Amino acid sequence: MTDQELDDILGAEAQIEPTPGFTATVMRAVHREATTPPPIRFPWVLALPGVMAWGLTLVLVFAIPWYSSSPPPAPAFRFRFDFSWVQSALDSLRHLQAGWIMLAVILTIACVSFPLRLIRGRYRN
Amino acid sequence: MSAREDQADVQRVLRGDISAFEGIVKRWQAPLVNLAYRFCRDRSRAEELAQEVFLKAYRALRDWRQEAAFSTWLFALATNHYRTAIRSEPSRFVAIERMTELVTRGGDAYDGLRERDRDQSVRAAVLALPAKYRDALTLFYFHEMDVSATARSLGVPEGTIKARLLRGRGLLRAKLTRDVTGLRLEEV
Repeated sequence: MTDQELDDILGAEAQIEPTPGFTATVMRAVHREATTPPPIRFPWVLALPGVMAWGLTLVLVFAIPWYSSSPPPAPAFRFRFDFSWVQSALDSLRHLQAGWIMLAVILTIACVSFPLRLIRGRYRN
Repeated sequence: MSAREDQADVQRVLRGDISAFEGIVKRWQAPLVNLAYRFCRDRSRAEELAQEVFLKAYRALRDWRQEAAFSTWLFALATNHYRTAIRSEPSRFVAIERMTELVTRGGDAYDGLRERDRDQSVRAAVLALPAKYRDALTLFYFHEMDVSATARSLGVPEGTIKARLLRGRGLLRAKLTRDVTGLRLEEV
């Protein structure tokens, strides 16, 4: 089969006509679409504190054990301020297993405050 | 003329006059249904797909940047929708054995019928090609062999379309020839 034959066959396709009620069906669907209220958007502004709390929790869960178990890096340059108190505070927190306590507290606060904020937002609107 | 009417109707719809969308539907229903039919070869499904495209167009009307013609935007939207829709549906294509049977079926008294069957078989074979060749060939013939319109509908450069047409035609020819030869050998 040559290119010309293919062109002749594929280029000469009969046109089909839409059924008589097609326009009316489409317009009904469009009117329905126009009168349907837009879907309720997720309240990102209200959820932001919760999301941030989750982020912080993840950081605490993963960063603290890693920080406390890894050896201190060799200083590439001299710090102007002394941060040794941070290290000692983290050591004492680790000793007390404060990471888990903080995690529990933050989760509790998040679980309570997130629904409260959602409800307040709904009633405010 | 149509472009100006499209623009005016779009402006009216955007201002809140939904009934103006009817003008757009009336002008573009036949091309959209026909394009859908070339992708699915099922008349009622073609109308369903075209209706979905009109709804999609209505929702996205604000996104039409008026640098391009409304028809270009609409065809690109439709092409995208049809390709996605048929990708997610089970194949309704004619089996290649059936196609070759139709292509080879002989008899002088049936020449007219045979010719029609052959044409149908070739069209069905286009749908059995890999998607990128199928889309290029389908749109190329839909746009009356206009490479640039095909390229705009698919959102790819014209050179890519030319390459796909060349390869697609080659695949189609090879497929039909190979299967016809195979069938003849089986008959012997």
